[in-house]
Order: sequence, then structure tokens, then C-alpha cells
Amino acid sequence: MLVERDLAALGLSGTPSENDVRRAYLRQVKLHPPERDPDGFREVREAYERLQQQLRVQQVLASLPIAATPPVVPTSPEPEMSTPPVVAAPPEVAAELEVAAEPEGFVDVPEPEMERINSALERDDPDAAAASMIELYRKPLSEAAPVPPPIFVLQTFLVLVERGGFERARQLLAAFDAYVSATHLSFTGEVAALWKLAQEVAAVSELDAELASALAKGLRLGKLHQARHALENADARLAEGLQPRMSRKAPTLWASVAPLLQPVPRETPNFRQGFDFWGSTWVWRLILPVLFAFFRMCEPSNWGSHSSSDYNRVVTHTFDEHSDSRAIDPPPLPDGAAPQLAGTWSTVDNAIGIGDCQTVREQWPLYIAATRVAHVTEAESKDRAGRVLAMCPELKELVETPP
Amino acid sequence: MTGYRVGIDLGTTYSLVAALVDGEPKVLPNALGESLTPSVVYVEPNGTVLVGAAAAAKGALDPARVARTFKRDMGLERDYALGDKHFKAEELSALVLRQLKQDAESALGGTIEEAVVTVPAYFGELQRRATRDAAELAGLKVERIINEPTAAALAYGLHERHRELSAVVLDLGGGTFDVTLLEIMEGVIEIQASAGDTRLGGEDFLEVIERQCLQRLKEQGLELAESGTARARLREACEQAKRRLSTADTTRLALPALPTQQGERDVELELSRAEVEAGFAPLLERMTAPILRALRDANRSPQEVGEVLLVGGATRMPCVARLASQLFGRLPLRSLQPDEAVALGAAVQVALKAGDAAVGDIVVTDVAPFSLGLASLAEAGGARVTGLFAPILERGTVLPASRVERFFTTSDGQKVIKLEVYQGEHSLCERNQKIGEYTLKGLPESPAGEQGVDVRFSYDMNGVLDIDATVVSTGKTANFTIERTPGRLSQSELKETRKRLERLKFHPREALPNVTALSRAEALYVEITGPARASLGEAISRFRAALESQDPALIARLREVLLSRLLDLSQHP
Repeated sequence: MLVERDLAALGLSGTPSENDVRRAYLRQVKLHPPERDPDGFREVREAYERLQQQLRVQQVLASLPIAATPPVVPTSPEPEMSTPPVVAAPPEVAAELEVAAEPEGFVDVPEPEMERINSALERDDPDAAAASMIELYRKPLSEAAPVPPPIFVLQTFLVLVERGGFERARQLLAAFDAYVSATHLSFTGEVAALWKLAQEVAAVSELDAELASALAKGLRLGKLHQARHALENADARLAEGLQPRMSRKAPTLWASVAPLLQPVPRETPNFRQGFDFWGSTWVWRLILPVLFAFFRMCEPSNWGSHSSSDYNRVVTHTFDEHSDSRAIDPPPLPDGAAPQLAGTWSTVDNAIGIGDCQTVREQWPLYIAATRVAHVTEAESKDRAGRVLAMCPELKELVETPP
Repeated sequence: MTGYRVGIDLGTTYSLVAALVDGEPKVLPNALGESLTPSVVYVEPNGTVLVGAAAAAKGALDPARVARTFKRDMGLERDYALGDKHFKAEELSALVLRQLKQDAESALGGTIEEAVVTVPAYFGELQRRATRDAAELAGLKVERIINEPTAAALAYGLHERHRELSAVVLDLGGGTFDVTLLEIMEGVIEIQASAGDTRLGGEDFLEVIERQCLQRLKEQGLELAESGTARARLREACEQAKRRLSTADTTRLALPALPTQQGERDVELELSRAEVEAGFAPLLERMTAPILRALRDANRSPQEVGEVLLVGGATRMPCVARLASQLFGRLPLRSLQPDEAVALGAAVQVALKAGDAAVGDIVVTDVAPFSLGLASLAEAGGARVTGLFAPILERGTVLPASRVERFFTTSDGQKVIKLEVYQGEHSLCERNQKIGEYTLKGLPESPAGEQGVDVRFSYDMNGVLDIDATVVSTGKTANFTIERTPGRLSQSELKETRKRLERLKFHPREALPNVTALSRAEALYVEITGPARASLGEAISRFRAALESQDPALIARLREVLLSRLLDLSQHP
């Protein structure tokens, strides 16, 4: 999944190797020396850095335990990526650029909701974008509504947490989780990794808001070590200490950030006896940030500025070929999903019973999704919505769209 | 016609000037016909300023009027008193640069218009700016400040550009140690990481030998006299011994009539390389730290490094070469003179900048050698932690680069944000170096944390830091250059200092060979005894008489006599 634009910037196409990318970059550097063409150089450099990170992430993700989810059962075609107009190359090098061919027959008809998401992201308003995303997830599956690509949702989640919008962030993640379990989509690669990390960030946000924000930012920027101060603070704040809680609630994150808390040991490798490159901890400390740096590429707040990026537009993708059959005969729930959904119903019902608006707010999107799959009658869900409204009028916005 | 362009290696102990001559970089000789000019300034009792070998020779006899290794204090407030005159490190460097400029002008036969000056990669902002100031004081337009290892790599790269290799440059100069990892591929020299120690160099090795000698004197029941002269003579003798030990296993160090607290004694010490190197062990260990850091930054193992390039006079010491071969598992490369490589590279750089066809197709990319960021504050419960370093532009970022981070207000109704700019790697600002500050005013009043400021750091190839601060809510942008930094001279101060330096008297350049020959002879006269001393004394007085006669032919002839006697005596002590 290399970004066409970056490949084009280096005069590449297809799936080049790391060495190909490097050589292409150096050839471009000769055409745009930093000395004489600093802006041209910066563009080439940025494209190179993104490609390089992506290539390394592809290698590293495979070896991480979080990627060990079952392979994708594609219920929908992979989100197609539009090829944006290639950045106008300086005339003298135009001949050298091999522009990737435009995929043929691509039609891009964004839904109004998708437009709303796009414009919210462009004006750097993740809250509005998340609200629109949640709305899309809340639509019945039978309507075959478009949903935003998962990577966008997860990025938006991180931005929300980073800026302290925990409530909306949890809603968004819950809606996404519910949607995924309802449609039994599964992911591999960066989406799976990011999803897992997002869930852990959500878990951390219940533990310590400031820490969650710092971690989300670190993940988004690929500078996890910048969360160090927050880690230290949280460690001092929590009576029990950070380690037992974090390692339970967010094991993957904890494994990556734990070294930041400890003073770096003085390394005195004895080179004469060989140097265990991959075995040394600092190599992993190098690679994990690289992995996280990758996510930065798709950073929503950047979409506006990188107007020619592949990610500049949310491309709609629908589930046409499945939606009909699903409306008639719901597929069996995936293993593990059923108790989760059942759990959601009882959680929400209990919350309504005791007037716990907070839990209702958090669980509602998941509850809606669960409801959708299980064919709860319209009357029944209207009844529930009515009871929620009577109890917590402030949730009007959340429940006004009946499932 | 336009002026010439030169590359200058302004070193801790020696400085060199080089230029591209017929498409090849060449070191330009000074008035004495030598390529290395000691970075030493001496002020005579009558106020005349001497720079270079003559100053070094005079300084050996009159340590109160000489300044050396001042490069280490660039950008610091330290005051050097030379007789009744006071200088800062920048001003002393300016005097050296002025001398180099004259030498280059005489060698090239034209005026020098622009120069590239090299600095250790690990030089911080302040030190770079002080170097710029020094060049300006010397009347040089500084085209570019480049890192010494980058320059060295360029000098090698000029010949290796059609090869593909990864290399590490270890640059151990008089006062600084720099490590640079680079790769040459497709005609591009890519600097991948640099690290270093600004206070580790040949001078530290010299101090070890000095300490060992003092220890040996103590064993003989002698204590060096408090006078600076005794110290300077010992230092000079140790320097010579250090050089001889690079090729010999043992050497003899003779100091006749050395002033000690027990009276004047003839001292003779026998030094062996093994003994001396045992004392170097802690210094060699300090060298490994930046090497490991550079490898880590570039994500490389030592085995992946193809060539080890040794640069800087101090790498002539066998123990340094041994350390390099142990760490990297291969023999170091020394195809260029280690003390000339940096100056040659600076000459290549100046030609590159001018678009000279002879070097036309080399491109160099460099990285930021240190992290730059702001002081920030963190809140824990009710308590606040201040002075936390929030890096914005991290070390190892390929230049030119521009990075932005958002910062927020910390108290209700806060209207100003003080941006304190730091450079370094420690998480606490106090352990890093402050390079400037700016107070951003006019923030709209809001509760704490609501007003955000986007701070953008732009760092260019010249190592110039440009800062933009944008208030998010109003879109108001402030751009600032750092002013009032300690050690930094303002424009008016620069002008004043330049005037002050211009008022100084200098020995005329053409008289330098005479002054130098005489000073060297007089310095040696103190060191020797017996018939050798008598014959040297005779040569000195005849030369003095010739100088009085002002007959150029006679002076030149007798100077040659004196120099050949000097050479003879220093080779056969």
C-alpha cells in the first residue's frame, strides 16, 4: 500500500524494494540539491521518509503479536485509493518521472455525510468529523451506507484523545468496535495494529486522562518518547504505580513505553566479541518509534495541507453485494462477539434501569450496532430510546436516530 | 575581477586555509611556507600582535602574553589577558582568521571575497554564531559554516564519488572529537548521523603526558616552579615527545635548567609508548561514547560501516587508530593528510557553492547534530514541574528541515508566553544549553490550556535557526531571531570590536619569517647547553645584526643559516 504520490515524487511505480526507493531518492536529491533547491529537496525528502517508514513498518508489523489476527475475510473491496494529480514536476525533470497510471473506471461519488467528514477534517475539527462518523455507523446495515476507512476513524480517535475529547473518542471507538464485530470485518497490518493500540489508549484514558492524551499524541506523531514526562507524572500520581495497571490494561503500549521510564543503562558492548544487533534492546527502541511514525503519515490534521495526498479524500465504499442477504438472513455472530453483544444489551438495560447516563452514552453506539444485527423490532428499540430520553434528556442527540 | 573564495579550517591548535586550484583542492602555504598555522596569538610588550608559529615560539618563553586553544571558549564570556590587552575567544579567532586571509591573498594573488569556515559538528548555536562573528571581525564574508567531518567527507568524497560506500569519519582534532556516519551513493554524500565531544582532543592527551612527567619529577623529589615559563617549557617538550611516540616506542625528554622549587635542574625523562597509552585509557573510553551514539542514531552496526576515515592530527597516535580498528573491525583509511582533510573539504564546499564545474556533481545532505526545543511545563495533580525540555526539531533530522509543535497556555487569562529556546538532549532544560528566548504577547484572555501556539522551528543548511510562533485562535504570527544571547555580539559591538582590532599593531607579513625564525631559535636556545648552545647563540647574534642592517639579501641568507642550524639541532638533540 505505497502511496502513489510519494512513489511518483521519486520517479517510481509499483512495489519497489527498499534499495530501489533509496536509489531513486538519491537520484532525485541530485536533481534537487538542498543547497540550491531547498524546497524541492524537502518535498523529495518527505516523500522518501514516508515510503521508507512504510516499507519498514510492513516488515516489522508482521513480527508483532498484535498482527496475529486471522487473515482478512474481505466483505468489501479494499478501499480504493484515488490517484491524485501528480505534483507538477519542474520542467527539466518531467521526462524522468514515470507517473503511475491513473486507475481506469474509477468513479468517486462521495455521500453527503462523507463530505461532512472531509470538510470537518479539513478545518481541523475532529469532533465534528467523529460525530459524522458515528452517525454513519449508526445507520442500519441494510441501508448499505458508506463508512469511512478504518484508518481514518482510528486516526480521528487519536486526535480526539490527544485534545482531551475523551467522551467523543470513546463513542467513536465503541461505534467502530460494534460495527466491526457486527460486520465481522477483520484487519491485518497497520489497521489491526492501530486498532489494538487505540483500544489500549481508550483503556488508559480511564486510568489517567493526561497520560492517554500524551500517548495518543506520541502515537500519532510517531514520537512516543515524548510521552515520557506524562508517564513519569502518572507513575508518581498513581498510588499503585503505573506498571501493574498499564501492563494489565494496555500490554502492547506498556511494552513499548516501559523502557522510557527506566534510566537508560550504559551500554558497553564488547565489539571484539561480536555485536548482537537484533538482540540489543536499543534496536527495538528504534524500530517501535518507526512503526508509530508510520501512522503519522495519515494524520487527519495534515490532510488539508497535503491537498494532493492520497489520503486527502475519504473514499466511500459500500457493502452492496452483501447487504441484501444480510437484511434477510443475518450471518451468525463471530465467535466471541455474541457474549460481547449480549453484554452490551444487559449493560445498557441496567444503565437505563439505574439512570446511569454516562454508561448509556458510552455504550449506546455499540448497543445500536448490536441491535441492528440482532433484528430487534423497531417498536422495541423506539421504546428503549424513549426510556433513555426520559431519563437523560441530554442524550437526545445520541439517540434521536432510531436504529 | 571578482575575489577568490577559500575554505578555512579554524582549528583548536592549528588552522589552515585551502582553495580550489586547477580543479583540485590545495592547502595554501603561510608566510613561512608551511601549511599549518598554529592557532596562537601573542602580544609583544610594545603591543604588536603576532599570530602563528612566531607567537607559539615567543609564548613558550613568555606565557603571560600568549593565548592558545581559545577555540574551546568560543561563545563563552571568558576573558584572555595578554599583557595589558584583553580579548575574547572570538577576537583571538578573528586575529587568526585575519592572518589566514592575508596568507591566502598572497598565495592566490588577489583579494579574498568569501570563505567557508568549518566548525566541529558538535558545536552548538552559540559557538557557530561566535565563529561567524570572528570571521566578520576578520573582514571575511562567511559564505557558509560547515561541520568539520562533513568537510572531511567531502575531501574524500571528491575522489570517491563514483564509488558506493558507507563510512565513518573520526575527527580527533586538538580540542574536539567528532564522529560522523555517512554514505556515498549515486554521487550523493549523505551524512546520516553525527555526534561528538566538544572537550576531547589532542590537548587532553597532552595533559596526560604532562601529568605523568610531573609525577616522575615528584618521584625524583622535584616540584615544578610556579612560573608559567616552566610549565610552558614542559608542555612544549611533552608535545614533541607525544609526536615522537607516534612512530617510536620510547623517547627521551630533556629539559636543561628547568626551574623547579628545588632550584634549576637538568631534567631528563624516558617515556615509553606503553606507559603513556596506559594513561590514555580513560580518554579512549570517552571516545567510544559518541561513536556508539552515532551508530545508534543511524541505526547501524559497526560491521555495516565500510570505511573508517581518520581525520585530525591527533589521529596520528597509534592508540586512536587501534581503537578505531577494534571498534569497526577494519584498518582505518588515511589517504589524505589527517590534518589537511578538513581544510581541503572546506575548499571543495566553497567551490560547490560557487557552482565550480570541477566539483559540479557532488551533492551533500547533512543532519542536525543536536535537538532544538522549548522549555515546557507539566502538571501532576496540583504540582507543577517546570523546565522540561520539549524538543521540536530532533537531532538527526535531515536539513533543511522545518518542524512544528503546539504549546498551550498554563494559567487562566495568560496573555504572554515566554518561549525559551534550548539545545541539547537532556529532558531537563537546565542540563541543556539555552540559546535564546522570546516573549510572545497579545494572546486573547482565556482559561488555562485554551490558547494554543504553534511554534515552528526552521533550521537551514547553514545551521541558522528561524522561529515562527502562531497564535492558533487569532492566526497572528511572530517571527523572531534570537537576540541578546550571552556571548553574541550586536552589530554595533561588532563594529566597535572591529575598529579596536584594526587599531592593533601587527608585524608586517613579510617580516614574519624573520620573527618566527628568531623566536624559534631563542626558544631552543633555552633548551640546550654546551657547544650546541654556543653555536646557536652565534647564529642568533649574526642574524640580529643582519636585521639591523636592513639588507634583505643578507637577512635572507643568515635566516637560512639559522634555520638549518635549528633543524639540525632539533633532529639531533
